[in-house]
Amino acid sequence: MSHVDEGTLHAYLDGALDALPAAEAARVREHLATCEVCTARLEEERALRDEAAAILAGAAPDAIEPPPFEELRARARVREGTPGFGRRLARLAWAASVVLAIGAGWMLRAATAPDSARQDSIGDGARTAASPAPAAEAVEGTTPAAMGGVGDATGADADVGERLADASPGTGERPAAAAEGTDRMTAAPVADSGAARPASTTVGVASERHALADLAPVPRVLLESSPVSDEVAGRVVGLDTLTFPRTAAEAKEAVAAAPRREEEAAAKTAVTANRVVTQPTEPAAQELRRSRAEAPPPVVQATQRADLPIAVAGIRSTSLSVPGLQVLSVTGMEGEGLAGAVRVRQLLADGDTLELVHLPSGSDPSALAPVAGDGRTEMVLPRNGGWLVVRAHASRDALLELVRGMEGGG
Amino acid sequence: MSLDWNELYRSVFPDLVRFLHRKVWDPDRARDLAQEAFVRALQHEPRKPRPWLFQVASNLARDEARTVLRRKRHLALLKSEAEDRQEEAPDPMEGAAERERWAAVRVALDALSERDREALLLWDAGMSYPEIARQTGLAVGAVGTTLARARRRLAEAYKAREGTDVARG
Repeated sequence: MSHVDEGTLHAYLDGALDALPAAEAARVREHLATCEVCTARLEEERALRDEAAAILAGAAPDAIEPPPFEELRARARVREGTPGFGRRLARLAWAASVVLAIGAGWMLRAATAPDSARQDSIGDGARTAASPAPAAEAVEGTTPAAMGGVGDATGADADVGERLADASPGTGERPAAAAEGTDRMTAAPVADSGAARPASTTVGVASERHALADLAPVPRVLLESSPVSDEVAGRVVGLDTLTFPRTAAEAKEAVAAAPRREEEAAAKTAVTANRVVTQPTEPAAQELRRSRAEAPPPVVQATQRADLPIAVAGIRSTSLSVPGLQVLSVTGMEGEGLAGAVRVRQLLADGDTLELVHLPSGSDPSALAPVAGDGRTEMVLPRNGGWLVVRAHASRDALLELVRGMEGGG
Repeated sequence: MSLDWNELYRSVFPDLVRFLHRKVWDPDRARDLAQEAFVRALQHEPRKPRPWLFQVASNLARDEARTVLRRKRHLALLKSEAEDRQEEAPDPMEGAAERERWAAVRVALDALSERDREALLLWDAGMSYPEIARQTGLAVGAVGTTLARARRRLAEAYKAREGTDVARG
Protein backbone atom coordinates (compact mmCIF):
# COMPACT_ATOMS: atom_id res chain seq x y z
CA MET A 1 0.00 0.00 0.00
CA SER A 2 1.34 3.39 -0.96
CA HIS A 3 2.13 5.96 1.67
CA VAL A 4 -0.13 8.87 2.43
CA ASP A 5 0.79 12.07 0.61
CA GLU A 6 1.55 15.33 2.32
CA GLY A 7 -1.73 17.02 1.41
CA THR A 8 -3.74 14.15 2.82
CA LEU A 9 -1.71 14.24 6.02
CA HIS A 10 -2.67 17.88 6.42
CA ALA A 11 -6.29 17.09 5.68
CA TYR A 12 -6.08 14.43 8.37
CA LEU A 13 -4.57 16.88 10.85
CA ASP A 14 -7.19 19.45 9.95
CA GLY A 15 -9.95 16.96 10.60
CA ALA A 16 -10.98 17.28 6.97
CA LEU A 17 -10.49 13.69 5.82
CA ASP A 18 -14.22 13.38 5.41
CA ALA A 19 -14.09 15.92 2.65
CA LEU A 20 -12.44 13.12 0.68
CA PRO A 21 -14.38 10.16 -0.69
CA ALA A 22 -15.29 7.76 2.13
CA ALA A 23 -13.24 4.86 0.78
CA GLU A 24 -10.17 7.06 0.46
CA ALA A 25 -10.62 8.41 3.99
CA ALA A 26 -10.93 4.89 5.36
CA ARG A 27 -7.82 3.78 3.51
CA VAL A 28 -5.83 6.69 4.95
CA ARG A 29 -6.95 6.00 8.52
CA GLU A 30 -6.11 2.36 8.17
CA HIS A 31 -2.71 3.09 6.71
CA LEU A 32 -1.78 5.62 9.35
CA ALA A 33 -2.65 3.13 12.07
CA THR A 34 -0.09 0.67 10.76
CA CYS A 35 2.63 2.54 8.86
CA GLU A 36 5.49 3.82 10.99
CA VAL A 37 6.95 5.91 8.22
CA CYS A 38 3.72 7.79 7.74
CA THR A 39 3.17 8.15 11.47
CA ALA A 40 6.55 9.82 11.75
CA ARG A 41 5.77 12.07 8.80
CA LEU A 42 2.46 12.90 10.34
CA GLU A 43 4.21 14.22 13.43
CA GLU A 44 6.50 16.37 11.29
CA GLU A 45 3.54 17.82 9.48
CA ARG A 46 1.78 18.41 12.76
CA ALA A 47 4.74 20.45 13.96
CA LEU A 48 4.71 22.44 10.73
CA ARG A 49 1.00 23.03 11.04
CA ASP A 50 1.37 24.26 14.62
CA GLU A 51 4.24 26.48 13.64
CA ALA A 52 2.27 28.12 10.85
CA ALA A 53 -0.69 28.63 13.16
CA ALA A 54 1.60 30.27 15.73
CA ILE A 55 3.07 32.60 13.12
CA LEU A 56 -0.39 33.66 11.99
CA ALA A 57 -1.52 34.12 15.58
CA GLY A 58 1.28 36.65 15.89
CA ALA A 59 -0.51 38.79 13.33
CA ALA A 60 -3.88 38.86 15.02
CA PRO A 61 -5.09 42.15 16.39
CA ASP A 62 -5.86 42.28 20.08
CA ALA A 63 -9.21 41.55 21.61
CA ILE A 64 -11.84 41.92 18.94
CA GLU A 65 -15.03 43.19 20.48
CA PRO A 66 -17.79 43.41 17.91
CA PRO A 67 -19.62 46.73 17.87
CA PRO A 68 -23.32 46.50 18.79
CA PHE A 69 -25.26 44.47 16.29
CA GLU A 70 -28.09 47.00 16.26
CA GLU A 71 -25.68 49.53 14.84
CA LEU A 72 -25.17 47.37 11.80
CA ARG A 73 -28.87 46.70 11.48
CA ALA A 74 -29.47 50.42 11.45
CA ARG A 75 -26.82 50.96 8.80
CA ALA A 76 -28.29 48.24 6.63
CA ARG A 77 -31.73 49.78 7.02
CA VAL A 78 -30.53 53.24 6.11
CA ARG A 79 -28.97 51.84 3.00
CA GLU A 80 -32.14 50.09 1.98
CA GLY A 81 -33.57 53.58 1.71
CA THR A 82 -30.74 54.84 -0.43
CA PRO A 83 -29.92 52.09 -2.85
CA GLY A 84 -26.42 51.96 -4.21
CA PHE A 85 -25.53 52.78 -7.75
CA GLY A 86 -25.67 49.19 -8.92
CA ARG A 87 -29.10 48.68 -7.52
CA ARG A 88 -30.31 51.95 -8.96
CA LEU A 89 -28.96 50.94 -12.31
CA ALA A 90 -30.68 47.59 -12.09
CA ARG A 91 -33.94 49.26 -11.24
CA LEU A 92 -33.42 51.70 -14.05
CA ALA A 93 -32.78 48.90 -16.48
CA TRP A 94 -35.92 47.20 -15.31
CA ALA A 95 -37.92 50.36 -15.60
CA ALA A 96 -36.45 50.93 -19.02
CA SER A 97 -37.51 47.55 -20.29
CA VAL A 98 -41.01 48.01 -18.95
CA VAL A 99 -41.40 51.45 -20.36
CA LEU A 100 -39.88 50.48 -23.66
CA ALA A 101 -42.26 47.60 -23.82
CA ILE A 102 -45.06 50.10 -23.60
CA GLY A 103 -43.34 52.23 -26.18
CA ALA A 104 -42.97 49.28 -28.51
CA GLY A 105 -46.59 48.48 -27.91
CA TRP A 106 -47.87 51.80 -29.08
CA MET A 107 -45.47 52.00 -31.93
CA LEU A 108 -46.70 48.68 -33.20
CA ARG A 109 -50.25 49.79 -32.84
CA ALA A 110 -49.61 53.17 -34.29
CA ALA A 111 -48.02 51.74 -37.37
CA THR A 112 -50.69 49.30 -38.33
CA ALA A 113 -54.39 48.89 -38.24
CA PRO A 114 -55.78 45.66 -36.89
CA ASP A 115 -56.78 43.18 -39.56
CA SER A 116 -59.40 40.89 -38.23
CA ALA A 117 -59.22 38.40 -41.07
CA ARG A 118 -55.58 37.76 -40.50
CA GLN A 119 -56.02 37.60 -36.83
CA ASP A 120 -58.53 34.86 -37.24
CA SER A 121 -56.02 32.81 -39.08
CA ILE A 122 -53.75 32.74 -36.11
CA GLY A 123 -54.35 29.74 -33.95
CA ASP A 124 -54.80 30.30 -30.28
CA GLY A 125 -51.91 28.02 -29.53
CA ALA A 126 -49.67 29.98 -31.79
CA ARG A 127 -50.69 33.23 -30.26
CA THR A 128 -50.12 32.22 -26.70
CA ALA A 129 -47.03 30.24 -27.33
CA ALA A 130 -45.27 32.36 -29.82
CA SER A 131 -46.54 35.83 -29.71
CA PRO A 132 -43.01 37.27 -29.80
CA ALA A 133 -42.27 35.44 -33.02
CA PRO A 134 -41.06 37.91 -35.59
CA ALA A 135 -43.31 38.91 -38.41
CA ALA A 136 -42.00 37.55 -41.58
CA GLU A 137 -44.15 39.58 -43.85
CA ALA A 138 -43.59 42.73 -41.98
CA VAL A 139 -40.07 43.03 -43.19
CA GLU A 140 -40.65 41.55 -46.56
CA GLY A 141 -40.35 44.24 -49.13
CA THR A 142 -38.60 46.60 -46.87
CA THR A 143 -35.41 44.63 -47.04
CA PRO A 144 -33.68 42.85 -49.85
CA ALA A 145 -33.44 39.26 -48.80
CA ALA A 146 -29.88 38.13 -48.69
CA MET A 147 -30.11 34.72 -47.26
CA GLY A 148 -26.66 33.39 -47.96
CA GLY A 149 -25.16 32.68 -44.61
CA VAL A 150 -27.99 33.10 -42.25
CA GLY A 151 -27.80 29.54 -41.11
CA ASP A 152 -24.05 29.49 -41.07
CA ALA A 153 -22.85 29.70 -37.54
CA THR A 154 -19.28 30.60 -38.17
CA GLY A 155 -19.48 34.21 -39.19
CA ALA A 156 -19.71 37.27 -37.03
CA ASP A 157 -16.23 38.56 -37.53
CA ALA A 158 -15.43 41.78 -35.84
CA ASP A 159 -15.71 44.02 -38.81
CA VAL A 160 -19.30 43.20 -39.52
CA GLY A 161 -20.25 45.90 -37.13
CA GLU A 162 -18.01 48.33 -38.91
CA ARG A 163 -19.31 47.35 -42.30
CA LEU A 164 -22.77 47.99 -41.08
CA ALA A 165 -21.81 51.14 -39.35
CA ASP A 166 -20.15 52.44 -42.45
CA ALA A 167 -23.10 51.68 -44.61
CA SER A 168 -25.79 52.97 -42.35
CA PRO A 169 -26.46 56.65 -42.57
CA GLY A 170 -25.86 58.41 -39.33
CA THR A 171 -24.04 55.69 -37.51
CA GLY A 172 -20.70 57.12 -38.39
CA GLU A 173 -21.45 60.11 -36.24
CA ARG A 174 -22.17 58.12 -33.16
CA PRO A 175 -19.69 57.93 -30.38
CA ALA A 176 -17.91 54.88 -31.60
CA ALA A 177 -17.70 52.49 -28.71
CA ALA A 178 -21.33 52.22 -27.83
CA ALA A 179 -22.59 52.25 -31.35
CA GLU A 180 -20.24 49.57 -32.47
CA GLY A 181 -20.82 47.43 -29.47
CA THR A 182 -24.51 47.27 -30.02
CA ASP A 183 -24.25 47.04 -33.73
CA ARG A 184 -22.12 44.03 -33.45
CA MET A 185 -24.45 42.34 -31.09
CA THR A 186 -27.39 42.66 -33.35
CA ALA A 187 -25.42 42.45 -36.53
CA ALA A 188 -24.14 38.98 -35.92
CA PRO A 189 -26.67 37.13 -38.04
CA VAL A 190 -25.76 39.02 -41.21
CA ALA A 191 -22.17 38.04 -40.99
CA ASP A 192 -22.09 36.26 -44.28
CA SER A 193 -24.80 37.99 -46.11
CA GLY A 194 -22.64 41.03 -46.48
CA ALA A 195 -25.72 43.13 -46.96
CA ALA A 196 -25.67 46.55 -45.45
CA ARG A 197 -28.91 47.25 -43.74
CA PRO A 198 -30.20 47.82 -40.27
CA ALA A 199 -29.25 44.92 -38.13
CA SER A 200 -32.55 44.67 -36.41
CA THR A 201 -34.37 44.33 -39.67
CA THR A 202 -32.15 41.46 -40.54
CA VAL A 203 -33.50 39.56 -37.62
CA GLY A 204 -36.86 39.47 -39.23
CA VAL A 205 -35.43 38.28 -42.50
CA ALA A 206 -33.55 35.52 -40.82
CA SER A 207 -36.67 34.46 -39.07
CA GLU A 208 -38.54 34.34 -42.28
CA ARG A 209 -35.94 32.18 -43.89
CA HIS A 210 -36.15 29.71 -41.12
CA ALA A 211 -39.83 29.82 -40.81
CA LEU A 212 -40.23 29.10 -44.49
CA ALA A 213 -37.44 26.73 -45.15
CA ASP A 214 -36.31 24.75 -42.19
CA LEU A 215 -38.76 24.80 -39.42
CA ALA A 216 -42.06 23.92 -40.89
CA PRO A 217 -44.24 24.04 -37.80
CA VAL A 218 -43.16 27.48 -36.74
CA PRO A 219 -46.23 29.49 -36.06
CA ARG A 220 -46.15 32.66 -38.04
CA VAL A 221 -47.62 35.44 -36.07
CA LEU A 222 -48.01 38.64 -37.92
CA LEU A 223 -47.21 41.33 -35.50
CA GLU A 224 -47.96 44.02 -38.01
CA SER A 225 -51.49 42.82 -38.25
CA SER A 226 -52.19 41.85 -34.68
CA PRO A 227 -53.07 44.34 -32.04
CA VAL A 228 -50.07 43.70 -29.89
CA SER A 229 -50.79 44.15 -26.26
CA ASP A 230 -48.33 45.85 -24.01
CA GLU A 231 -47.92 42.59 -22.26
CA VAL A 232 -46.83 40.85 -25.41
CA ALA A 233 -44.52 43.65 -26.35
CA GLY A 234 -43.14 43.47 -22.85
CA ARG A 235 -42.27 39.89 -23.37
CA VAL A 236 -40.59 40.67 -26.61
CA VAL A 237 -38.45 43.36 -25.11
CA GLY A 238 -37.78 41.46 -21.94
CA LEU A 239 -36.33 38.51 -23.75
CA ASP A 240 -32.77 38.10 -24.71
CA THR A 241 -32.30 40.32 -27.69
CA LEU A 242 -31.01 37.59 -29.85
CA THR A 243 -33.50 34.91 -29.16
CA PHE A 244 -37.05 34.52 -30.21
CA PRO A 245 -38.73 31.71 -28.38
CA ARG A 246 -41.22 29.56 -30.18
CA THR A 247 -43.08 27.93 -27.36
CA ALA A 248 -44.08 28.94 -23.91
CA ALA A 249 -41.45 26.59 -22.53
CA GLU A 250 -38.77 28.18 -24.66
CA ALA A 251 -39.95 31.60 -23.68
CA LYS A 252 -39.63 30.61 -20.06
CA GLU A 253 -36.19 29.28 -20.67
CA ALA A 254 -35.13 32.42 -22.45
CA VAL A 255 -36.38 34.57 -19.61
CA ALA A 256 -34.62 32.38 -17.08
CA ALA A 257 -31.43 32.58 -19.07
CA ALA A 258 -31.63 36.32 -19.50
CA PRO A 259 -29.71 37.32 -16.37
CA ARG A 260 -26.83 35.14 -17.45
CA ARG A 261 -23.82 37.17 -18.34
CA GLU A 262 -23.78 37.99 -21.97
CA GLU A 263 -20.14 37.03 -22.13
CA GLU A 264 -21.01 33.54 -21.11
CA ALA A 265 -23.17 33.29 -24.11
CA ALA A 266 -20.51 34.72 -26.38
CA ALA A 267 -19.05 32.37 -28.94
CA LYS A 268 -21.97 30.03 -28.51
CA THR A 269 -24.24 29.41 -31.41
CA ALA A 270 -27.81 28.98 -30.48
CA VAL A 271 -30.34 27.62 -32.87
CA THR A 272 -33.62 28.99 -31.77
CA ALA A 273 -37.01 28.26 -33.03
CA ASN A 274 -37.08 30.82 -35.76
CA ARG A 275 -33.54 31.61 -36.57
CA VAL A 276 -29.94 30.88 -36.05
CA VAL A 277 -28.21 33.23 -33.72
CA THR A 278 -24.55 33.55 -34.29
CA GLN A 279 -22.85 34.96 -31.30
CA PRO A 280 -19.53 36.66 -31.77
CA THR A 281 -16.58 34.33 -31.87
CA GLU A 282 -13.99 34.76 -29.15
CA PRO A 283 -11.89 37.53 -30.72
CA ALA A 284 -15.06 39.35 -31.61
CA ALA A 285 -16.40 38.81 -28.13
CA GLN A 286 -13.23 40.22 -26.66
CA GLU A 287 -13.48 43.21 -28.89
CA LEU A 288 -17.06 43.58 -27.81
CA ARG A 289 -16.11 43.43 -24.16
CA ARG A 290 -13.38 45.96 -24.69
CA SER A 291 -15.54 48.37 -26.56
CA ARG A 292 -18.25 47.97 -23.94
CA ALA A 293 -15.84 48.53 -21.11
CA GLU A 294 -14.83 51.80 -22.68
CA ALA A 295 -18.14 53.49 -22.60
CA PRO A 296 -21.51 52.09 -23.22
CA PRO A 297 -23.67 51.74 -20.18
CA PRO A 298 -25.81 48.64 -20.22
CA VAL A 299 -28.95 50.68 -20.18
CA VAL A 300 -28.29 51.96 -23.64
CA GLN A 301 -28.28 48.45 -24.87
CA ALA A 302 -31.43 47.69 -23.02
CA THR A 303 -32.92 50.61 -24.79
CA GLN A 304 -31.80 49.46 -28.14
CA ARG A 305 -33.35 46.10 -27.59
CA ALA A 306 -36.52 47.89 -28.29
CA ASP A 307 -35.30 48.12 -31.85
CA LEU A 308 -36.17 44.55 -32.47
CA PRO A 309 -39.89 44.42 -32.16
CA ILE A 310 -40.24 47.82 -33.70
CA ALA A 311 -38.17 46.98 -36.72
CA VAL A 312 -39.83 43.64 -37.05
CA ALA A 313 -43.10 45.36 -37.37
CA GLY A 314 -41.73 47.18 -40.36
CA ILE A 315 -41.23 50.54 -38.78
CA ARG A 316 -38.02 51.99 -40.06
CA SER A 317 -37.29 53.99 -37.03
CA THR A 318 -34.86 52.31 -34.72
CA SER A 319 -34.37 53.68 -31.33
CA LEU A 320 -35.92 55.54 -28.49
CA SER A 321 -32.56 56.89 -27.46
CA VAL A 322 -29.54 58.42 -29.10
CA PRO A 323 -26.99 55.66 -29.43
CA GLY A 324 -23.81 56.12 -27.45
CA LEU A 325 -25.19 58.50 -24.87
CA GLN A 326 -25.75 57.27 -21.38
CA VAL A 327 -29.41 56.85 -20.61
CA LEU A 328 -30.28 58.53 -17.35
CA SER A 329 -33.90 57.57 -17.16
CA VAL A 330 -36.74 56.16 -19.17
CA THR A 331 -40.18 56.91 -17.86
CA GLY A 332 -43.70 56.50 -19.03
CA MET A 333 -45.79 59.66 -18.99
CA GLU A 334 -49.31 60.27 -17.89
CA GLY A 335 -51.81 62.99 -18.36
CA GLU A 336 -54.30 64.35 -20.82
CA GLY A 337 -53.08 63.63 -24.33
CA LEU A 338 -49.94 61.94 -23.14
CA ALA A 339 -51.07 58.34 -22.79
CA GLY A 340 -48.35 56.04 -23.99
CA ALA A 341 -45.75 58.76 -24.16
CA VAL A 342 -42.23 57.85 -23.17
CA ARG A 343 -39.67 60.26 -21.83
CA VAL A 344 -36.00 59.37 -22.19
CA ARG A 345 -33.28 61.42 -20.56
CA GLN A 346 -29.71 61.02 -21.69
CA LEU A 347 -26.42 62.46 -20.65
CA LEU A 348 -24.74 64.68 -23.21
CA ALA A 349 -21.01 64.85 -23.51
CA ASP A 350 -20.93 68.29 -21.88
CA GLY A 351 -22.76 67.02 -18.82
CA ASP A 352 -26.07 68.50 -19.85
CA THR A 353 -29.22 66.47 -20.18
CA LEU A 354 -30.94 65.61 -23.42
CA GLU A 355 -34.63 65.03 -23.10
CA LEU A 356 -36.50 62.97 -25.66
CA VAL A 357 -40.24 62.60 -25.46
CA HIS A 358 -41.84 60.07 -27.75
CA LEU A 359 -45.51 60.75 -28.30
CA PRO A 360 -47.70 58.16 -29.96
CA SER A 361 -49.89 59.02 -32.91
CA GLY A 362 -53.02 60.76 -31.87
CA SER A 363 -51.38 62.52 -29.00
CA ASP A 364 -50.88 66.21 -28.76
CA PRO A 365 -47.37 67.63 -28.35
CA SER A 366 -48.86 70.78 -26.89
CA ALA A 367 -50.09 68.71 -23.96
CA LEU A 368 -46.50 68.45 -22.89
CA ALA A 369 -45.45 70.90 -20.23
CA PRO A 370 -43.51 73.65 -21.99
CA VAL A 371 -39.82 74.15 -21.40
CA ALA A 372 -39.59 76.31 -18.35
CA GLY A 373 -37.90 79.31 -19.90
CA ASP A 374 -34.56 77.86 -18.94
CA GLY A 375 -32.94 78.57 -22.25
CA ARG A 376 -33.33 75.08 -23.59
CA THR A 377 -34.05 74.57 -27.23
CA GLU A 378 -37.11 72.55 -28.03
CA MET A 379 -37.90 70.82 -31.27
CA VAL A 380 -41.03 68.92 -32.14
CA LEU A 381 -40.55 66.48 -34.99
CA PRO A 382 -43.03 64.11 -36.58
CA ARG A 383 -41.89 60.56 -36.11
CA ASN A 384 -43.54 57.20 -36.58
CA GLY A 385 -46.92 58.77 -37.00
CA GLY A 386 -46.49 60.45 -33.66
CA TRP A 387 -44.11 63.06 -32.39
CA LEU A 388 -40.66 63.29 -31.06
CA VAL A 389 -39.96 66.21 -28.78
CA VAL A 390 -36.29 66.98 -28.27
CA ARG A 391 -35.03 69.36 -25.62
CA ALA A 392 -31.57 70.36 -24.54
CA HIS A 393 -29.28 73.32 -24.03
CA ALA A 394 -28.04 73.15 -27.58
CA SER A 395 -28.53 74.68 -30.98
CA ARG A 396 -31.24 73.40 -33.27
CA ASP A 397 -28.59 72.03 -35.58
CA ALA A 398 -26.99 70.12 -32.74
CA LEU A 399 -30.36 68.68 -31.77
CA LEU A 400 -31.06 67.65 -35.34
CA GLU A 401 -27.69 65.99 -35.49
CA LEU A 402 -28.53 63.96 -32.39
CA VAL A 403 -31.88 62.94 -33.77
CA ARG A 404 -30.25 61.86 -36.99
CA GLY A 405 -28.06 59.59 -34.88
CA MET A 406 -31.22 57.92 -33.65
CA GLU A 407 -32.30 57.19 -37.17
CA GLY A 408 -29.01 55.55 -37.89
CA GLY A 409 -30.57 52.24 -38.77
CA GLY A 410 -33.27 53.52 -41.03
CA MET B 1 -36.24 28.95 10.21
CA SER B 2 -34.99 32.50 10.21
CA LEU B 3 -31.33 32.91 10.80
CA ASP B 4 -30.12 34.33 14.08
CA TRP B 5 -27.99 37.11 12.68
CA ASN B 6 -27.08 38.40 16.07
CA GLU B 7 -25.62 35.05 17.04
CA LEU B 8 -23.86 34.65 13.72
CA TYR B 9 -22.43 38.12 14.08
CA ARG B 10 -20.96 37.35 17.49
CA SER B 11 -19.37 34.14 16.37
CA VAL B 12 -18.06 35.22 12.98
CA PHE B 13 -17.05 38.82 13.54
CA PRO B 14 -13.76 38.11 15.34
CA ASP B 15 -12.76 35.55 12.70
CA LEU B 16 -13.61 38.00 9.98
CA VAL B 17 -11.56 40.77 11.56
CA ARG B 18 -8.58 38.45 11.98
CA PHE B 19 -8.90 37.37 8.39
CA LEU B 20 -9.12 40.95 7.17
CA HIS B 21 -6.34 42.17 9.38
CA ARG B 22 -3.90 39.88 7.62
CA LYS B 23 -4.88 41.50 4.40
CA VAL B 24 -5.10 45.18 5.25
CA TRP B 25 -2.73 45.23 8.23
CA ASP B 26 -4.67 47.85 10.08
CA PRO B 27 -6.90 46.71 12.96
CA ASP B 28 -9.31 49.62 12.59
CA ARG B 29 -9.71 49.15 8.89
CA ALA B 30 -10.16 45.42 9.41
CA ARG B 31 -12.98 46.13 11.84
CA ASP B 32 -14.55 48.63 9.49
CA LEU B 33 -14.43 46.24 6.59
CA ALA B 34 -15.81 43.39 8.69
CA GLN B 35 -18.71 45.62 9.66
CA GLU B 36 -19.21 46.62 6.06
CA ALA B 37 -19.36 42.96 5.06
CA PHE B 38 -22.01 42.36 7.71
CA VAL B 39 -24.05 45.36 6.68
CA ARG B 40 -24.05 44.01 3.14
CA ALA B 41 -24.98 40.57 4.37
CA LEU B 42 -27.93 42.03 6.25
CA GLN B 43 -29.04 43.71 3.06
CA HIS B 44 -28.66 40.65 0.87
CA GLU B 45 -29.43 37.94 3.41
CA PRO B 46 -27.40 35.29 1.64
CA ARG B 47 -28.37 31.67 2.14
CA LYS B 48 -24.93 30.68 3.36
CA PRO B 49 -23.85 33.75 5.26
CA ARG B 50 -20.54 32.55 6.55
CA PRO B 51 -18.78 31.80 3.27
CA TRP B 52 -20.58 34.76 1.74
CA LEU B 53 -19.15 37.06 4.39
CA PHE B 54 -15.63 35.85 3.78
CA GLN B 55 -16.01 36.20 0.06
CA VAL B 56 -17.24 39.77 0.41
CA ALA B 57 -14.54 40.53 2.97
CA SER B 58 -11.93 39.22 0.58
CA ASN B 59 -13.23 41.46 -2.18
CA LEU B 60 -13.40 44.45 0.13
CA ALA B 61 -9.83 43.87 1.18
CA ARG B 62 -8.71 43.71 -2.41
CA ASP B 63 -10.45 46.96 -3.23
CA GLU B 64 -8.98 48.46 -0.10
CA ALA B 65 -5.49 47.41 -1.13
CA ARG B 66 -5.93 49.14 -4.46
CA THR B 67 -7.19 52.31 -2.83
CA VAL B 68 -4.39 52.32 -0.31
CA LEU B 69 -1.87 51.93 -3.07
CA ARG B 70 -3.33 54.86 -4.94
CA ARG B 71 -3.48 56.99 -1.85
CA LYS B 72 0.09 56.12 -0.96
CA ARG B 73 1.35 57.19 -4.33
CA HIS B 74 -0.57 60.36 -3.88
CA LEU B 75 0.75 61.11 -0.45
CA ALA B 76 4.28 60.00 -1.07
CA LEU B 77 5.22 63.43 -2.34
CA LEU B 78 3.47 65.35 0.38
CA LYS B 79 4.20 63.39 3.47
CA SER B 80 7.34 64.18 5.37
CA GLU B 81 9.14 61.87 7.65
CA ALA B 82 8.30 64.07 10.59
CA GLU B 83 4.63 63.57 9.98
CA ASP B 84 5.22 59.86 9.90
CA ARG B 85 6.84 60.01 13.28
CA GLN B 86 4.04 62.14 14.64
CA GLU B 87 1.50 59.61 13.48
CA GLU B 88 3.25 56.83 15.24
CA ALA B 89 3.93 58.83 18.36
CA PRO B 90 0.77 57.84 20.25
CA ASP B 91 1.78 54.18 19.96
CA PRO B 92 3.35 52.90 23.17
CA MET B 93 6.44 50.72 23.06
CA GLU B 94 4.28 47.64 23.12
CA GLY B 95 2.47 48.79 20.03
CA ALA B 96 5.75 49.19 18.20
CA ALA B 97 6.80 45.65 19.06
CA GLU B 98 3.45 44.38 17.91
CA ARG B 99 3.77 46.20 14.62
CA GLU B 100 7.16 44.74 14.10
CA ARG B 101 5.80 41.28 14.60
CA TRP B 102 3.00 42.00 12.18
CA ALA B 103 5.49 43.22 9.64
CA ALA B 104 7.41 39.95 9.92
CA VAL B 105 4.27 37.89 9.37
CA ARG B 106 3.29 40.12 6.53
CA VAL B 107 6.55 39.59 4.75
CA ALA B 108 6.23 35.85 5.26
CA LEU B 109 2.68 35.83 3.93
CA ASP B 110 3.76 37.87 0.94
CA ALA B 111 6.10 35.04 0.03
CA LEU B 112 3.09 32.83 -0.67
CA SER B 113 1.20 32.69 -3.90
CA GLU B 114 -2.11 34.49 -3.75
CA ARG B 115 -4.15 31.33 -3.79
CA ASP B 116 -2.03 29.58 -1.16
CA ARG B 117 -2.26 32.64 1.06
CA GLU B 118 -6.02 32.89 0.64
CA ALA B 119 -6.48 29.20 1.47
CA LEU B 120 -4.31 29.49 4.55
CA LEU B 121 -6.04 32.61 5.84
CA LEU B 122 -9.45 31.11 5.23
CA TRP B 123 -8.48 27.96 7.08
CA ASP B 124 -7.14 30.02 9.93
CA ALA B 125 -10.43 31.91 10.06
CA GLY B 126 -12.24 28.64 10.61
CA MET B 127 -13.48 27.77 7.14
CA SER B 128 -13.90 24.13 6.19
CA TYR B 129 -12.14 22.44 3.28
CA PRO B 130 -15.21 22.52 1.07
CA GLU B 131 -15.76 26.19 1.87
CA ILE B 132 -12.14 26.99 1.10
CA ALA B 133 -12.43 25.04 -2.13
CA ARG B 134 -15.46 27.00 -3.18
CA GLN B 135 -13.95 30.37 -2.46
CA THR B 136 -10.55 29.74 -3.98
CA GLY B 137 -11.65 27.64 -6.92
CA LEU B 138 -9.56 24.68 -5.75
CA ALA B 139 -10.80 21.11 -5.85
CA VAL B 140 -11.65 19.89 -2.35
CA GLY B 141 -9.04 17.20 -2.73
CA ALA B 142 -6.40 19.83 -3.45
CA VAL B 143 -7.00 21.94 -0.36
CA GLY B 144 -4.82 19.75 1.87
CA THR B 145 -1.92 19.93 -0.56
CA THR B 146 -2.35 23.68 -0.90
CA LEU B 147 -2.41 24.18 2.85
CA ALA B 148 0.62 21.94 3.31
CA ARG B 149 2.57 24.03 0.80
CA ALA B 150 1.33 27.29 2.23
CA ARG B 151 2.30 26.34 5.77
CA ARG B 152 5.74 25.20 4.70
CA ARG B 153 6.40 28.39 2.74
CA LEU B 154 5.13 30.56 5.54
CA ALA B 155 7.35 28.87 8.12
CA GLU B 156 10.36 29.04 5.83
CA ALA B 157 9.85 32.66 4.91
CA TYR B 158 9.30 33.62 8.52
CA LYS B 159 12.46 31.86 9.61
CA ALA B 160 14.45 33.36 6.79
CA ARG B 161 13.44 36.81 7.93
CA GLU B 162 14.30 36.06 11.52
CA GLY B 163 17.69 34.92 10.27
CA THR B 164 18.36 38.20 8.50
CA ASP B 165 17.16 40.14 11.54
CA VAL B 166 19.53 38.28 13.78
CA ALA B 167 22.37 38.78 11.33
CA ARG B 168 21.65 42.51 11.17
CA GLY B 169 21.17 42.89 14.91
